[in-house]
Amino acid sequence: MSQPFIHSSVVQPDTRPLLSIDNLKTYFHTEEGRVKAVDGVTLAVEEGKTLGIVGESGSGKSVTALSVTRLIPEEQGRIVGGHITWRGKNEEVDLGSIPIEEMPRYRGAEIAMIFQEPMTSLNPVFKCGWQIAEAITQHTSTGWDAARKRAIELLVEVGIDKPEKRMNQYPHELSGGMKQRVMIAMALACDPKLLICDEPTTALDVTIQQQILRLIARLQRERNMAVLFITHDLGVVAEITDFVAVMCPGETLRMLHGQVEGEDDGDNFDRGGHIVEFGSVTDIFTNPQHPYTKGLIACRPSLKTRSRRLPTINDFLRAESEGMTLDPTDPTLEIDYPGRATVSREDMPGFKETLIEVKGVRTWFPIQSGIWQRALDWDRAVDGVDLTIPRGMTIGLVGESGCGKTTLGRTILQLVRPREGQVLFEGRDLTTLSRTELRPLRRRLQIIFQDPYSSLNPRLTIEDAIVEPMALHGLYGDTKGRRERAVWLMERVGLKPDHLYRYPHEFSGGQRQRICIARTLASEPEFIVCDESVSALDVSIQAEVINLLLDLQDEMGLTYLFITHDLSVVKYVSDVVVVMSSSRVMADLYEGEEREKILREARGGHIVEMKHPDELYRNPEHPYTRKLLAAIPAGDPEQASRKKAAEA
Amino acid sequence: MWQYIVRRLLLMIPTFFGITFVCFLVLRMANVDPVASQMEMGLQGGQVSQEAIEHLRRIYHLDKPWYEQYARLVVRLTRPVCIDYLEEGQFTSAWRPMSRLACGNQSRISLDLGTSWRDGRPIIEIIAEALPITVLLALLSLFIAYSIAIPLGIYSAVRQYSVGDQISTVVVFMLYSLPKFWIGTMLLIFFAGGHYLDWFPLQGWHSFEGFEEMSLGERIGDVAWHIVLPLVTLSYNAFAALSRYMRTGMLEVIRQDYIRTARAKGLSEKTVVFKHALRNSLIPIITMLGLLLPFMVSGSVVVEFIFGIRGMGGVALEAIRLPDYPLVITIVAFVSLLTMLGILISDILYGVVDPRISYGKGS
Repeated sequence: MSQPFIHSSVVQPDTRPLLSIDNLKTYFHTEEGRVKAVDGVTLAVEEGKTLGIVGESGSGKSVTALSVTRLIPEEQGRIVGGHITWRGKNEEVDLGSIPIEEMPRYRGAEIAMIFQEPMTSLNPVFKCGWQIAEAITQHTSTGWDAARKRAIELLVEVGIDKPEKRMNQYPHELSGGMKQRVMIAMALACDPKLLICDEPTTALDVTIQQQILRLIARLQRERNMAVLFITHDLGVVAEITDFVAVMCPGETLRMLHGQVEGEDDGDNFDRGGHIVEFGSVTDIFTNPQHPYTKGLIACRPSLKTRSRRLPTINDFLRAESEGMTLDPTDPTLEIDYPGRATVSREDMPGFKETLIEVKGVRTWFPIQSGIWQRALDWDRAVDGVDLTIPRGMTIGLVGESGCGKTTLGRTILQLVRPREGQVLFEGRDLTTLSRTELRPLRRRLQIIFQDPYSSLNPRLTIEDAIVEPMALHGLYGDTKGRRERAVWLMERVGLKPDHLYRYPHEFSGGQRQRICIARTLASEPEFIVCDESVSALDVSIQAEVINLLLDLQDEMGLTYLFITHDLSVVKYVSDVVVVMSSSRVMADLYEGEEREKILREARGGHIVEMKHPDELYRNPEHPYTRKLLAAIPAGDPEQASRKKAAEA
Repeated sequence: MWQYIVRRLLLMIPTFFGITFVCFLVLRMANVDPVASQMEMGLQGGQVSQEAIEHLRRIYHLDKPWYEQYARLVVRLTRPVCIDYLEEGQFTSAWRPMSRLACGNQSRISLDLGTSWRDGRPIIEIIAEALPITVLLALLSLFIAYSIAIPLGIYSAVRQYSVGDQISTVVVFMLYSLPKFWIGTMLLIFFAGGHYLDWFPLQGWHSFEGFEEMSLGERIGDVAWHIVLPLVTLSYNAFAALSRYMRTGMLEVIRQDYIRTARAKGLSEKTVVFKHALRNSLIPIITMLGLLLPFMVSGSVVVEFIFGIRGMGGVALEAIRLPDYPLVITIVAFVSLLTMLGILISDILYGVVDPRISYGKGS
């Protein structure tokens, strides 16, 4: 199979690069057979340059990085072909073929890594300082005291305040952003020549993400270090890298190679994850060649997006295979797809009439202590919120972790009971109803969770999961009627009816989220809380699920409370954007007396600003909103450089 | 931390009463008249009159309503009194140094737990003799079980599916499924008594003759020689289970992100396993400690029976057969107390190994 989209000229620079990967093949052996995770990847990282690898999950980008340091467990996957040439402190060496016992000499000392999950990447039973010092003593003859001193210097370098104190803290005592800083300090311990960052900001809030990206960029500059930056987010790539390699899971391209989607019998195109496009970051964004790259750029809602539905990677692949060319940078690009709503929510009865009213709600959780476990203090998760939710509309709820947005969603559904205040649903105060009185209303108030993996019972078939809520509320008469409804729902969310007899583990993340949506719709709800429902999905799947949610809203007149930390997504889907925050989160915005005042006030999660999205993004009033908006990744390199210039 | 311990200790009080109450009820419902069963032989032979039996019932308060009986029991169990009537030398047990610690050399403290219905001995005396033996057996076999299970579990996990792992898996499952009484009997047949090998003594937990004359060192050696077989019988089961838990725990830890971080730092595989993985994988099997302690005490019933050792197990067996109400309830109370302490200790250890567990800061 030819590779028409690779700019091979860019791969071969004049000077010999620090790291060159040549036709790397890493295969995994699973019970279902061989999986070609990485299938013929060729790339080079030059000294002092940043190379980004972008792609969806399953494209092999992380496996490529782990292959370089040989961190893939041998029983799972092996490097079956190709070379990984490293020109580090010593002479040239092929990391792909040396015995695994020699790898510790390179890991940490010459090639360091940081990972996606700062929460789980530090050992919970050792103090942070010890973990950094250990990395130092491992590769140098430094004594323990000197190593500790050096560790403190490193903590200062990565921007951690009170480094002496942090040295003696355990990882669980630090916030996510701080843990990632500790990880970076640990990676820098022995002045590596290459830093591999494997999705280092994916699990973090936007403002923290921005801080970490800047930190990595600064360290890269100051130390003239090479960085291999792996992410699924093109917006992040635009901010930080010089060159970009776009990787793609092989099976995604089947359609392009003349195969119909869903038919997995053919071996016409059985190539695994590989690079489909390589170029400078400006080239990739302004002049993408491969339809996959185009799709990847287009499917991420940006602040400029104006279309009513998001384009997806599949749209681009389909268009390309039919000989059409679409412009991914066109913000009004509309592509028709099967299942698109033909009616509009505006025609639904009662559109824009008040459905839910939240009045002065406070949801506090007790912090118990002492011998008798009395509540001595309160965690003020939601602290005085007033909100009106009109029928058929989408209210976007944004804020950083700990601002109380999830608790607010759960309080509206009465999954947690507030301490104070009212939640009026069609004028009835839900907070005064008993559990039995609430039960018939539960049918109409539903929720879709973030993690499609843990929110489906692994021991129930999809049919059982979807039929259960109908049976619970006595809908659709008998078993036969319910089954018919389940078939209809599956087709509506874009799955096949015979999927009903399978179990959750047989589906991908995107498919599972569709199943969760079908299950939620089973009880014919009117109001749905989408609690980070698209946050765990790949960008292209995310676009498909957002499209589905919007189509369902048009067809059924659904009302959404859309909770997310992604400011681009929330702007795209919402009719009103609500920004939540708390004193603790906001205190960092101020200094001196102002800061003291805010901290004294100690108000929990509350609304700081609430506006139409266009108005909010154009004209944010509250300093906290301004800070959030400034942290959104630029989306393309042109904007990134403009942003940098504006700040400087 | 201290607040937590105090709270847990306070919680033990209601639990303790609950357990004794349930035990008392069960015994009552068994509907066996202890006096009658004790006197049965005599009654049949015409040597004991009905009046004598009624008299005995009055002495034991068996004629009183059940709530009064329980109230008397509770009072008896919870009334610590300083007594001086015990003669020097009469009391040869582990309680002596403890009472000395509590009350100084002059006076001795003891619990008046009443007397056994069987032979009229003070119950505290019976328990003082039996408890140290059982506790010694239980703690030692726990120690042995852990010290074999941990390295074996690590080995099996690090070399998963290797020949060594597969052999140890088979052996461990075989051991786990074999009953104690069978293993105990087989050990006696093959290693004691002289049919095959005469390495260990058949009965008792120390030599009957000449034990009094031995020096401390000799005594320890003598006891050690006697309890080898009982310890093996008591610990193989727990060791088999623990090594599986250790293996699973280690396998779980070894695929965590922070282990990958440790490898990415350039640490050798040995450091990764013994420094970074070990402490995390110990967490689940430390919780087992509290659960295994009562398991060991109940296991000692069988073991003590086979090896002719008079520990709590033997005493409990006899007491239930009679039934000797005060003794049974006291034993149950002691064992439950031991269990609760064991669970508390494992919970505290849990916090020591895992810094994420916090029992609240003492103010």
